[in-house]
Amino acid sequence: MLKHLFRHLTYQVFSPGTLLRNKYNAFREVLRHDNIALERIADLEEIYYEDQYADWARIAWLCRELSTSTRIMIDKLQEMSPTRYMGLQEYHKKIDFYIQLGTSVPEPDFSPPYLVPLGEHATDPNLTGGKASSLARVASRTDIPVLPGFVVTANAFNYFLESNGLRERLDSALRRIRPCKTNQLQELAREMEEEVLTAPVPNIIADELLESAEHLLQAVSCSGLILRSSAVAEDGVVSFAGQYDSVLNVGPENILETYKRILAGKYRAKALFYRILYGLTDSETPMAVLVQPMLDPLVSGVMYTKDPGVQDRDVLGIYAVPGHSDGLMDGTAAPCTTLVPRTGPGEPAGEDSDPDTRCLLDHAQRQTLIGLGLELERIGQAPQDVEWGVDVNGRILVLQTRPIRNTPKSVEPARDLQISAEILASGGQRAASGVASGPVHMLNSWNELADVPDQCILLVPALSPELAQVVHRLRGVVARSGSRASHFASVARELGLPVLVHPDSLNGVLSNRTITLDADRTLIYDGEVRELLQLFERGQPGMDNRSVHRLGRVMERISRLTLTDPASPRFNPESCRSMHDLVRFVHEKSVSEMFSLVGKGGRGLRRARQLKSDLPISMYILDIDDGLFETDRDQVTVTPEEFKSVPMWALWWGLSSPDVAWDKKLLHVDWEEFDRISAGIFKADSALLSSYAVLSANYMHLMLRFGYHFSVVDALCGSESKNNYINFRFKGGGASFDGRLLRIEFITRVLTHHGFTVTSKADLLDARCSRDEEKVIQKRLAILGRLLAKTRLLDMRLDSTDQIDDLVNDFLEG
Amino acid sequence: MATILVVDDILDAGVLIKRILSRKGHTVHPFTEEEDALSFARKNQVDLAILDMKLKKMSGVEVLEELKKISPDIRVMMLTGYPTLETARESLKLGADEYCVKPIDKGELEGKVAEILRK
Repeated sequence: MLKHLFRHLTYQVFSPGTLLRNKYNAFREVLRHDNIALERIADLEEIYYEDQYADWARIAWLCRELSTSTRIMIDKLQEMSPTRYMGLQEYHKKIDFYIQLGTSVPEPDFSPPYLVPLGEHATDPNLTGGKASSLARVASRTDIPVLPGFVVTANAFNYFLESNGLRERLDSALRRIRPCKTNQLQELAREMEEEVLTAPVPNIIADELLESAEHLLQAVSCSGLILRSSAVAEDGVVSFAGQYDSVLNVGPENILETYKRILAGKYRAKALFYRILYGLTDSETPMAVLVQPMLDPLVSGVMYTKDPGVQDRDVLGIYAVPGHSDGLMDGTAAPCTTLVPRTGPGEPAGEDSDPDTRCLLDHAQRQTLIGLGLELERIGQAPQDVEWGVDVNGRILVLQTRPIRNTPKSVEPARDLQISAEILASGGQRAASGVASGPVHMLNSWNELADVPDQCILLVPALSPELAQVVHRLRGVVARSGSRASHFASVARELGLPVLVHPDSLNGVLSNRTITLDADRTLIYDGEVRELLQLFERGQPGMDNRSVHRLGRVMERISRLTLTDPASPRFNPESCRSMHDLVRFVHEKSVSEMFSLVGKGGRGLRRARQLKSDLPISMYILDIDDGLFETDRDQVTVTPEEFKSVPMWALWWGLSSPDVAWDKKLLHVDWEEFDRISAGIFKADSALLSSYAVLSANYMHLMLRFGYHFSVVDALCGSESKNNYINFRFKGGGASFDGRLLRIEFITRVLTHHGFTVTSKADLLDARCSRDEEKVIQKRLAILGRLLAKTRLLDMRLDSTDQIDDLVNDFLEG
Repeated sequence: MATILVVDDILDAGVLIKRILSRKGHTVHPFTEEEDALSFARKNQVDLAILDMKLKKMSGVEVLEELKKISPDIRVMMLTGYPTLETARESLKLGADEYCVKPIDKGELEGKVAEILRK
């Protein structure tokens, strides 16, 4: 601050031309950062108001960029005028703090322990992740059989990133993700996976991991291990079903590579997108890894203690497949199903009278499994989604358990609802409830995911978890294979996206044909069935994006504009409540600083060159940056042909318009000043009385002194429309006050006609326009020039309002 | 109308807040010594405390913690010219209703106080 002031005063006294040039340079920087700041505000508004999904790294980065640009604008404004606007920095600091408080995420914890045994010490979900912590609770608090094992903690993951300096690199990729661009998402995902895979596991973690793995293998004497992802927040508010990896049959020699592979899986496109969709940040979902001995199950599967696929009654559902359950999860295998009706949250009412004949479990095993399910439900205090397996001894082990998310209630159409639309297909199995309508898109290969159009009903061969990365574009899914026990069905239920599994539905239905999918009643109609869609609208939960919520808490500090009227007494730093207010305030004030660029005495124009033209105007030109074509710099005069400055050239075009006659004998200088100070002593073309222009390539600051009035035109006219503006002020005159007012009225009417906003107070007129295209600004400057030429001595000739109408018409036609 | 306690090591700051909020009909007691403020809170029913962060012996966060022990329902507004993310998170965790940053003008102060008392 003092530095600015000292420099300012020094230049003002010793080198006024430099001051002017510095002021102009500072002004240009203000405009440049005004652009950046407004872009950032628009980006954030898009995310907030249009629900554009963005990683939190992007949101935090946009906020930081906005704050930095705003601070630079304030700095530059203070360079332009060091003594005004003193409080601005403080208000910036304050608003910046509120935004930081709302957008910063706590530093990740990377202190030990890095490994904990699967027991009481592993029950903290922030340390061991959702999957491992809930299994640890089962292991340490019940008699339910669980495989032994240990967990590489979330803190170990944080330490891995920290020791390899990955946080910043990942954030820089994360902030470039625009989830609507599937190809770009996949590319950035690959980049991030690569970063993780090539970084070494720190020794302190690697040594402990290898040692514990050896111990585990010896203790249970099995051939290999299974490593499972257990991210923090997984199975918490959202399930992350099927988004992260599990790797089977890992030998000790592959364990470090496999560990990293699971960490890298956090950055696979589908998992990334799923996380972003729910607005969880990367750093608050660190990846723990659960390590257990490999189980080769005879039978395995899923049990829902309250089956979300059955909505009209409470049912416990068991889905079983022979061997490993991979095929069940990725939607390719058809399981055998047992449904057990329940009377309430307590006991089941008994086994279904007609269990699946292919059922792979005997009666006793089914009873044991049901008993386990009820106990898990009791300790989890909610209906559970349980993964289980039967070992060679016939013992049932719990592999994973997580709460079942609330699913939208299906809407029962009123009984008398008559639907006349043609039914294209019926039957199959509902995997996720809901009704939706849209054009059909057929997906034949997972490589074509990027081409899935918006708002379609997707027809797929199987319910693969890959579908999660395009879920925002879908209205519904019809799959030829899969079941409601697949991961994607779980994702779809969370989102309220209807999914129907039907082996041969839609055979022969053409792509793009609009259909209505009613997953609840397993019906597909031709066309859009409005009656049905309207019924369902009320039950639709919609996607709940937490980053949008979070952003909402600081949005008023970012984009709400409260300073709208520069003429209001509240247009001051104290009233700035948001970054947008600060940006607006600084922009307005910097433009008005330029408007009063040169004092009335012409201070700062020492190096100016005198203009030689056919018009009888005495004018001096100061070129501060590329405003004149290169000519002999030592010349003391300059001609209009040398104008390179776009706004000056345009204005001169109008001013020298051939339809205006100039009296060559009457030199246009400041006659009032001439009368006051000279009484004939000064030469009439002295710089003190003359007009002047300060020019750069696309900037002009022009002070015109014609007779007894003066006008100032300050304009920016370049290819960036957002920066362009014309500010025009007109005051005074030699005629009677009424004559001057009539002239003001004439100017007002002409300028208003040409798109200027005009305000006038007595004989002072202000006109402005801004953010128009270069060509529009040029045209308006030419009009302004012609208007200035026409009105030179107009006030002397005006004595009635009637004259104005004719003059306005003449001018507009001319 | 509410009984409001203000703790700021600079008396003028407290008096200024008193002047603004008294006009809204509140009863305002400014203190520069944190101990005096705490013993006032022990003996009287206080609806809202406005605490500066830099005090003479204790920090604003410590006073907040003490006040919440005396009266768990008391509403608290932290008001500081030296904000940090740590003290802000800590204050909100300890039950502060707002963490406000100086400079604060009359309108903003009145608005925030009304908002907290409405909760």
